[in-house]
Amino acid sequence: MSGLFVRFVTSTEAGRLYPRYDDESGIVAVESRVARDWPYGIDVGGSLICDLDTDHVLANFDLHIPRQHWSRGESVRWPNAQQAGNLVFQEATVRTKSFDATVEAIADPALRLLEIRIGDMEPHEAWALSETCVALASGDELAGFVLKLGGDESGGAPTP
Amino acid sequence: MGDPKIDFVVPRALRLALLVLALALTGPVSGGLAGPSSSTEVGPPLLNDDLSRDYDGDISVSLDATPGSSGSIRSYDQSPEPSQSRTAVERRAPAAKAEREAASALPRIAGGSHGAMFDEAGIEMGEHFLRRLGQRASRLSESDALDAYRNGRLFYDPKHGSYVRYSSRTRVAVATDAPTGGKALSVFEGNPAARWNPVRWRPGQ
Repeated sequence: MSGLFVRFVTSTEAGRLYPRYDDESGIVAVESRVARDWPYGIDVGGSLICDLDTDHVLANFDLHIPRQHWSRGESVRWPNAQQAGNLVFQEATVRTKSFDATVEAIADPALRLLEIRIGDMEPHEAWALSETCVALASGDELAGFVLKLGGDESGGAPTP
Repeated sequence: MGDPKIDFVVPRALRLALLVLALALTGPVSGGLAGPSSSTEVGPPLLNDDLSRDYDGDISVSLDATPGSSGSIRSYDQSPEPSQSRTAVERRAPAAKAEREAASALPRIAGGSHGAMFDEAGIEMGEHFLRRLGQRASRLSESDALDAYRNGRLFYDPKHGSYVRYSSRTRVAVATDAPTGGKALSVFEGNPAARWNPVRWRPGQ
């Protein structure tokens, strides 16, 4: 269990998130391009910081695991059968704010894909937050994300 | 029968008025209305006016980066083809504007930017830190972040090889790249992670 209860609603531009790797800080930032206030935040084990807008829609998340600490795995795959949606955190989760769930970062050998696993749940659903970011869920709990990265050594720009 | 003095006085007053008007138009402000008669000065003043109105702050970077430029606006004054110079700048200016918008989500406070307190304290800040300081301003303040950086408990995250200064009073954490005097990399709120190892304070820290 991750304890992060979510639901998915109709996709909008505000909920579309795009990853980039910030070399200076070693943080993966997955941001919406729609600038707005982020009045709510959720911390997952000090490794994953989520920012939500006034409607509790995920507007950004930062992965505080630098590239040199990503595991490498052949099993990392881009999920199939995706539905598009905005990720909305449920009220109880927003109130709790801080979670102890484990966060793991696993990249494919080419550094083109990065899977972020939250807790130890097996994901059953994949929701496309954009062409380069998919949220994984198990029932109504958030189980992780899969990101498309640039694939070069900088690990930076999202693939168009 | 009119007074002949009136016929004389009125034209004189008119002449005086015309003289005053002429002085006002061609007076001590060189480059004012007289400017357009000089073809070499028409371009640059308009260019500078436009830039200062629409792109102030960013344009100096654009001009400095222009190959062959001496890095000053004056070099455009001397350009034999001011129209081309202006086009070049206009081509660059939207990019600067787009960068500002992309920094998006950089809700800078009017009249000053986030990071002023850290800057004043001489603490180095990363770009990501500055962005998050602005974007998370509605739930954590810069003074809380500075307090966490200065007085917060120091942790080392062995899993990620990073340092965090954490204030249990405000629950604000500042990630840094060194145990002491490090660059501020990010700021967030939450609880200390179980895996974070407290680093014992030593004199000078």
